Amino acid sequence: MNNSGGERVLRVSGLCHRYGDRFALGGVDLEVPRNSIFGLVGPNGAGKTTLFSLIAGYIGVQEGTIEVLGGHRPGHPSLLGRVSILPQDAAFERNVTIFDQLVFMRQLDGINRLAARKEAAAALCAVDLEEISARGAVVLSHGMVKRLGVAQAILGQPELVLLDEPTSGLDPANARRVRDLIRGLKSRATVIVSSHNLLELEGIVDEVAIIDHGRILACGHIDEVTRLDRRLVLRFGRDLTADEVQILSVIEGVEGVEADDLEECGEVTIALAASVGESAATVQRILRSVVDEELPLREMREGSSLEDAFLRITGGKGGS
Amino acid sequence: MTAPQIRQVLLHAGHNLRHSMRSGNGVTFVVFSTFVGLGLANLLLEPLELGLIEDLEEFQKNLARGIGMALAMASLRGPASTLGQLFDQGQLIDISQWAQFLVVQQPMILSATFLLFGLVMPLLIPLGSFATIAVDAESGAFRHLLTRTRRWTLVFGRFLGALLLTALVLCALVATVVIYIRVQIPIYTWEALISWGGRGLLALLALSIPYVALSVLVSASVKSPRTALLASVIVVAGVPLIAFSAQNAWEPLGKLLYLLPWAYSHQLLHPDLANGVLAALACFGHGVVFLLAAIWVFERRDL
Repeated sequence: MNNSGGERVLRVSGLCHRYGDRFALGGVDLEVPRNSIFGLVGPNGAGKTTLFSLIAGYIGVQEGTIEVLGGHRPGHPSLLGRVSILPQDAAFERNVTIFDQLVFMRQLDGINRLAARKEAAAALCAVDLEEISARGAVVLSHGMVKRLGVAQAILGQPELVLLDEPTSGLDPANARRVRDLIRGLKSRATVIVSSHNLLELEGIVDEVAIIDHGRILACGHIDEVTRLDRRLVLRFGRDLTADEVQILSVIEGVEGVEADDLEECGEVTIALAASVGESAATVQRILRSVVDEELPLREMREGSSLEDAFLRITGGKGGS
Repeated sequence: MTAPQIRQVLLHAGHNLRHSMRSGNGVTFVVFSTFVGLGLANLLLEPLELGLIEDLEEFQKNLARGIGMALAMASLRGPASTLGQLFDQGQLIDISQWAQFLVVQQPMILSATFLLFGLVMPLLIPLGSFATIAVDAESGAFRHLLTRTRRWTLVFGRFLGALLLTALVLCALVATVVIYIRVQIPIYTWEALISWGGRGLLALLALSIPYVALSVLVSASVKSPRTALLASVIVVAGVPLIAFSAQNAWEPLGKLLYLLPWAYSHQLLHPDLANGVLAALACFGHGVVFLLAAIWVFERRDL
């Protein structure tokens, strides 16, 4: 679904997967460019985790193809150590210290114990877990387990990192820390991140795919996806008259205007028919009209967001 | 197998050994096996220790008959009464010589202990191996490893870890029994005890290979560790029960015993070393089959 240029680290084509009678994925096509941060958003039960599980090789491909890092099928021996994942709801060993678990994982990549210990310590430090590194996973809270999962996912030199809901259950400070980590990974790896926190994703991803009921509904650069739903919300000190609304609706670049009468003021939602760059000019034209007509503008906010796009594309429903 | 793969296998083996001890499964196995093993040895030793056996020759004769009957049943698998008659009439010469070898030529208490271990150990081994795969499959912990290691190295490594734990328990048990016999009943020399103890230990180690592999196979096939333990014990105990019951209805069904080493494990203590080696090779072959099946199942399993 993505036609832009550049090397692809992941190509998914016609991917279908079912659990018994239930379709989890129904013909997914996806391409992810190298060294990008790719967002995968969708309601609960949309198929995000199944897609991750297929890419990581946890479950077998039933129909369709997945090519990872140069055309390898998931689970291919040449991918070992090159793909890492933060799985959803995967436990760590309860009675083995979290430090030893990370050292063990890094040793599996083929490096010696001393180097593995250094890297494990650095990874735990990156997620602020170094103080409890000598404890088993049994003492960790949900948020700590999530951070430990992130630590193991960034361990080593993975070229493709899959992060399934990396910030869910984290406090704001740690969520920010994880977001910064993800941004930092971009220079050395491609990151695919799924999240329900769409505003958060909007700040870090380059490309995004919206998935629902096992199908990709929209995919592309984040501006391409969100521009379909770019809008401006203006709140005035009073209700606008029909003529005033008409003035706003005929401005070039405006696709439609909806006026709501609120209790003590009026709110106008203007749908913009342009991409980010073009809509900036449209916004300027709207503001000029507002000033020229001396409309009592109180508040203005850009209503176009990944969240809006997501809700519009998925029909605004919650997860199953 | 490449050097990195061998390294991964060894890492998994060591990790499995440590993990089983830390998680408590291994400790339970060690404690329970030691308790049962020493208990069995004590059953045989106590009459001698307490001086209840006044006539050692008579005791030896009775023990030889008991062992001979057990060997006859294991080898010929006929009705006990018929085999008893044949044995008493001296018609089972080979079996009789075999029993004499175990009781007269070798330290009899040690021989009897090994035979008992051979019967009980297959039921205890699942305690130390049932969790090798099923625990992490249930918790999803494998998901952190599968992007770093090949599945077969994981299964093979964990099998080796479980085997190593079993071997350590057996070594400790046999060493304890040998030392105890030498100290409490000084009728055998160290040389005789160590020599026969070594042979018996090797036999038990060979016998443990297929049963550990079978537990790993069951562990790789089910998701719940409890189911894995239960299923392992049921298979180990169920095969001889079904085989012996079924052969009464139709004799060829007795061959079901060959599904597990029950059919030939007693040969490990045969006076002819060649028979013992052959039985050990059969154990090894059984183990390889079970292990390959475990790898095959795990390679195809959704995790």
